[in-house]
Amino acid sequence: MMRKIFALFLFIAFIFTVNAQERKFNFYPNIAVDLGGAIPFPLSDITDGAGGTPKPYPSLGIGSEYNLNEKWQLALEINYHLIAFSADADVVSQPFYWDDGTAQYFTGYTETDVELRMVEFPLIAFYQLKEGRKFLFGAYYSRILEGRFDTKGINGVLSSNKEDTDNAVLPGSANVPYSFGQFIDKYDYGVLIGYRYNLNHRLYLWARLNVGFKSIFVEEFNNIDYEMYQVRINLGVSYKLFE
Amino acid sequence: MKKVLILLALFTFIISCSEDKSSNAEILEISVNSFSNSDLIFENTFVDTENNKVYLFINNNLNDFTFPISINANVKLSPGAKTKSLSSDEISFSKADEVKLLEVEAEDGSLKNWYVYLVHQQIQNSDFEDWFDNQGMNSKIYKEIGASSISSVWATANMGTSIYDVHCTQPIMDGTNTMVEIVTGETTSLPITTGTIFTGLFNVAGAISNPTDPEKATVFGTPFIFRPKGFKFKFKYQAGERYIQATLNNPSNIFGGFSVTDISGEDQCSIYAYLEIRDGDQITEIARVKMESGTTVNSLTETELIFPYNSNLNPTHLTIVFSSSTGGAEWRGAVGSTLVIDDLELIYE
Repeated sequence: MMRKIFALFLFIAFIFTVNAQERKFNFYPNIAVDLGGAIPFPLSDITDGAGGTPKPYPSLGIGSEYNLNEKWQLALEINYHLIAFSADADVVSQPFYWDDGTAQYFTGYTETDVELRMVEFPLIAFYQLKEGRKFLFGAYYSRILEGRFDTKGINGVLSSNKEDTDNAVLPGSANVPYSFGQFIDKYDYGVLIGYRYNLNHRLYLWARLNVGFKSIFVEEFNNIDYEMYQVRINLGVSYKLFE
Repeated sequence: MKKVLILLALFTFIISCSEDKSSNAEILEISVNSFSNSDLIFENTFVDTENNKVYLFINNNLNDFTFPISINANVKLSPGAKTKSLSSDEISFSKADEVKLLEVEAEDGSLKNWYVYLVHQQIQNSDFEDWFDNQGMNSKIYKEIGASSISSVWATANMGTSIYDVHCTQPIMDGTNTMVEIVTGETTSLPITTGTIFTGLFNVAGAISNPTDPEKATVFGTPFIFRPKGFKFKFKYQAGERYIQATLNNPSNIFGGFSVTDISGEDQCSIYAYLEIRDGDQITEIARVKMESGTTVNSLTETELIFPYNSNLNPTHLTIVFSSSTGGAEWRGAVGSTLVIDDLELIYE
């Protein structure tokens, strides 16, 4: 599957490049920084006082864009991303379900570290607001190459009896790690919106907000109360190779 | 300009001086000069830098000696470090099972706790008299083997199952004598949890991360350098009625639950021990002995197991394991199987 998508992209990029002389097509490399990660959904599952810290990592990619007319352009890109963030929260009786319906509950302080390596294929439409300034929107599909989702419960109370964790006196003696990396799905898709500013005819600055439309976990993973969706900001620069 | 340069040089010097202070608070080496009792035979020392523990090996049975015993020792520390809790070179033990705390202060003032153990011909608390109150993960208090979590060389899986308020290894009293009762139990999520007691450590993180792989929760073995001929102990056993095999519903999902099937035969207790030479990642087993039995033994019976050595070398570690169900690691056993043990003794030629 991955190989087919990559071959298709190369083919499209080749066609775009061949036709670049007609100036309807451009070909450009991207370099950017990702900020963000994944947030729980529903949002009400984010506890008061919870905090998150995105770890900025560079992303690299290439893209081709096609000039539909003076106002509109279409682009297809292939980008490699490493998204990482950490979060911490004080939780009360956070459940963790086994498939047989039994549950464990944790009350205490939690730290979470998430890392996703992926190749993203965004299809983007650009609309020119005025000279050199463009609004952009589109959709993306990404293949998750590797994922890590580690949570640590620290100095808390862990029990199969919710009464124990509802009435927990902290600090407790439970220091427990959970790793959900094996439940991270192989793909993701979503939408993006953003803004592009042309510094000159070749150099573009842009910012994008990407929002995932599916949980980063596989469908069968029903062991926690909430789902996690990708939300990230991508700040970057592109350089047009042909003029 | 010259003043600025001098100030800059001074500033750089001060910065470099402050950065030079080491945070190392390691015990590099410990050597024993003498004991307060001249009959004691010093054998060796072992500094476990991974767990901040120091072992002093004495080739006697310290249960036969009168305490306190003082040891005159040289403790070699990281450069610039000093011991806070040791005013002289004397370390005094009030009993064989006592563990001494050595606070080492690094050059930069940071502190590290080290623990000094006496290791002799018998395993500490091998009469299983000492138990302490421990707080389970569910915040409830239960009994755990040893005088404290730091000092005990014995471990159980009680902390792991404390989530369910289940503690499979507990003390039982017979008059003033304390014995260990090891029971195969069950929890709301696990259809079978084998009771166990062993020399080593229970790894809570391993148990939580791998709830369906009990072996990931154990770190077997305690430092030990002597060559016992074998060991003897008292035990009684009663297998549980329903012998079952629990199988993971989805081996790729550790939280996928179990299916339970009845199997033929009867549960057996498992008692085994082995001696190893550990040298970094290289581990060589030099002796192993095992006893498995499903026979009902209603009254405490003394049994002796002999080590069949395959080497003339001395070991570095000893592991002894008692389990109420021999197939516990594979989720096989009978809930209610009960093994009682008491008075473990290593025997020598």
